[in-house]
Amino acid sequence: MTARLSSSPWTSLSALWCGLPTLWRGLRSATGDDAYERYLEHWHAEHLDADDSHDGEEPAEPMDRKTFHKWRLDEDWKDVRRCC
Amino acid sequence: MAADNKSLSTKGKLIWTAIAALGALALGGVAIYRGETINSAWLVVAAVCVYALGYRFYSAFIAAKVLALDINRATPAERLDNGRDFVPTNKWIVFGHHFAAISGPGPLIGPTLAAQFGYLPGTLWILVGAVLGGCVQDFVILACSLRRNGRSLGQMARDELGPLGGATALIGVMVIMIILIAVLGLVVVKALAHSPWGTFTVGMTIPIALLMGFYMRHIRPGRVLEVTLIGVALLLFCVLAGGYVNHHPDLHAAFDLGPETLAWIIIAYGFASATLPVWMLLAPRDYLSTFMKLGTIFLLAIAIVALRPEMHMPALTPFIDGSGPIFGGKVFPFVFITIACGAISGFHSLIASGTTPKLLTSEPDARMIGYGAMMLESFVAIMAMIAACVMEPGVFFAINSPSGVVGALPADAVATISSWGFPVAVETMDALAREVGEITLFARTGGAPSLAIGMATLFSGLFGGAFIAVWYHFAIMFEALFILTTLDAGTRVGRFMLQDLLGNVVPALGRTSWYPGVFLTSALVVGSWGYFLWTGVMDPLGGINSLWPLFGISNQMLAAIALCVATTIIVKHGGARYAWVTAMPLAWLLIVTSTAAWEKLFSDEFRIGFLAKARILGDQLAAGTLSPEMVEKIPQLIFNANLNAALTLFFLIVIWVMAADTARVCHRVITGKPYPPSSESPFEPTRLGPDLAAIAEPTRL
Repeated sequence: MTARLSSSPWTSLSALWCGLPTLWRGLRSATGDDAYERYLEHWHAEHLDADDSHDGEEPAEPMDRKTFHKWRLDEDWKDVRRCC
Repeated sequence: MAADNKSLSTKGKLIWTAIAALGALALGGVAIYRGETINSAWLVVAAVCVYALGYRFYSAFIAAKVLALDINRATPAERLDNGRDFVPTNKWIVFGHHFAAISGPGPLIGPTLAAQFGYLPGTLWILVGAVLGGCVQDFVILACSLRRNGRSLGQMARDELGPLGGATALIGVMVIMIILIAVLGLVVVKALAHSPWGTFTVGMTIPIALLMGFYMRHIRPGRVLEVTLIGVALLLFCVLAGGYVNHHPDLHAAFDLGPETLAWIIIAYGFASATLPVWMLLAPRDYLSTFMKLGTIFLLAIAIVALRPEMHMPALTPFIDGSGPIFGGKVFPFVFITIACGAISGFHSLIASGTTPKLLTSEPDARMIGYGAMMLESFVAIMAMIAACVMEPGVFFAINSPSGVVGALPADAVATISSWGFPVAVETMDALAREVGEITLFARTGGAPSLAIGMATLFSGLFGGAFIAVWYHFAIMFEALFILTTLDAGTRVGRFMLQDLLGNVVPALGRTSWYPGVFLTSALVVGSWGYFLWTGVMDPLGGINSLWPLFGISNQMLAAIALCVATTIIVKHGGARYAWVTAMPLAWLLIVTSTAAWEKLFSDEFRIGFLAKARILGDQLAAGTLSPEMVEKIPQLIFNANLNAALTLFFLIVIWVMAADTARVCHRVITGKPYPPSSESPFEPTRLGPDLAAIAEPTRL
C-alpha cells in the first residue's frame, strides 16, 4: 500500500513505456506482420540443424519477402478460415 | 496430468457462491420481470455470471474428466512444427485468431430476427445453448482434432465412424456452405437496396482492398499492420463521404440500386473473389474486416456497459404462437433454429478442426480457446439481442416485417403493426429514415438495418446522441464487410472442396492451377448459392422467411454431425459414462432440427410449410384470380418451395443417418464388437519444458 502511494505517475508511465515493445511484438505477431521474420528464423534454424545432410533437394536460399507473402496467403486461404 | 480442477479454498467458495447467487438473481429477474421496459444491465450481469460459472466448473470438468487434457503431451504444433501451418503460438494470439475466425454475422442477425418472440426466449437459449452446447462442441472438437494431428471434421468422421459417416459429413458441409452464403448475401442485398450511402461505402471496400493488396504485394510486401491502418483510415473516410454521395443528386441516383442489380453484383463479386489471386482481393479485405469486426464488437460492449440502455421489447410477444411477421413458426422449435450462431453453431467445428489445433502449444489451452472463444461469441449474440430490443417494438417490426405480410404502403404497414399492440406512426418512421440518411426504413428485412439502428443509437449515445446517420452507415458497413468476407472465403473453400471431389473423377479438375477447372468449379459454386440468393430476392415474403430457417437447420445439422463424431470418440476412449456431455446437446439438436424440418416440410400453413406453400400457390394459379405479373412469377415460386422442401428432407436424412451410424459404432464399442479403431496419435511427451511456459504464459506475450 505504501509502495503504491509512494509511486509517482512517472513510475507507471515508465512501466507503460517499457511494456510498449512487448505490446508491439504481440500486435505484430497477432496480425501476422512478423510472419516473414519468423519464417526466416525457422528456415535458418532448420538449415543449421540439417546442415549438409540434405542432398541438394532443399532450396539453398529461403524465399524472399515478396514470394513468401504470396505463398503464405495462398496457403492460408485453402482452409475454412471464416465462419458464419 | 489432468487440467486444473483444484478444490476451492474457502475464499474461492464464497466468491463463486456470490457469483452463482448474483447470476440466479439476474437471470430470475430477466425471466420474471414484466414491466414496460427492462434495463439491459440485467441481461449483461446474467450472461457474465452464467459464462463465469460455466467456464470455471463445467469446462474444467470436461477438460479433466472427459477429455483428460494433458499438459505433458506434445501438441501437433510442437511435434510437426514446420514454421508454416503447424506453429506453436502464444495462447492469447491463438484465442484472437480463433475468435476472429468463428465470429461472423450469424450471432448478430439470428438474435435480431428471434427478437420477434420477445427478448426472453432468445436470451435463455443463447446462454444455456452456449454453456451446455456450443462451447462444449467447439472445445471437444478442438481437443479431438488436437489429438489427431489437426485433422478436419470430415476426416475425423471418416476415421472414427467409417465411410458412410465420412461421406455424409462431407456432403453436409458442402450444402450448408451454399445455403449459408446465399442467406448472408441476401442480408447484404436487403441492407443495401435503395441505400446510396450504404452501397457507396460497402462498394468502396473493393477498390480499397485492391489498393491494399497491391501495396502489400508490390510496394511493401507483407506489411500487414501498416496496410491495415491505411485501409481502415480510407474506409472510415468513405463512411463519411457516403453522406456527401447521399446528398449529391447524380451520385445518389448512381448508387441507388434495386435488389436485383445488387444480387447480380454480389454474384459477380463472389465469382471474382473465388478466381482472382488471394493477395489481390480476398486477403486484404479480410484484414480490413477482421480489424473492423473486433473493434466494433469492443465498442459495442463499451457502449452497452456504459449506457446500460432500457429495452422496450417485451419479454414475450404474442408471436410465440407462430404468427410472427418476420418468419412463421412457434417459439419451439424456431427460436432454436433462428439463433444458431451464438448458442451452438456447427460451422465452428470446421474452424476448431482446421487452423486452430495446428497452433496450440499446450493441450490444456484448448479449454480457454475452444470453450472461452465461444463464450465471447455468445456474448456478442446477447449484445445483438440488446441492440435489437432497445428500439420501440413498433419500429422494430416496421423495419423487419416484409411488405407481403404488413402491406406495401406505409399507412397499411403501421396500421397492421399498431393493431398487434406495437404502436408506430408513419411520421416516426419517416423521421428516423431521414435521421439516418435512408430513403425508407419500412420492410427493410434481413435484420441488418434494424441491428444497425440499434447499434447506431448506442454508439451515438456514447457521444451525446450525435452523428447518428454516420453511425448507422458505419454499422451497415461493418455488417456488410464481414458478411462479404464470409461470402468470398466460403465461395473459395467451396470451390476447393468441389475441385477435390471432382478431381476423383476428372483429375484435371482437381488441379487448382488449371484455369478452365477453376472457372468451372467456381461457376458451379457461385451458381448454386447465386440461385438461392436470387430466389430470396424474388420472394414476395422477403426471402429471409424461407432461407434463414433453412440455414439454421443446416447449421444445427452440422453441429449434430460434430457432436456425433465427438460422442463416438469419447465412447471409444472409455468415456461412455461421460458421453452425456456431448450426447445431451446432440439429443436436443436432433429433437429441434427434426421438429423444425418436419414443420417446414409438412405444416399446412403457407408461411411455414414449403410443400403447403407450393400447393397453395398452385391452387391460386389454377383459380386464375392473380395479376398477370404474379402469374408469371408463380411457377418459379412453386419450384423454389419444392426445392427448399427437398433440401429440408435432405438435412433430415443426413442428421438421422449420422445419428444412426454413431449409435451403431458406440453400440459396437460398448458390447465389445469390432469397430473402426480410434485415430488418436500416440502419446509423445512435450519437449518444450520451460519454453512452454514462455510461449503459453500470457504475461510473457
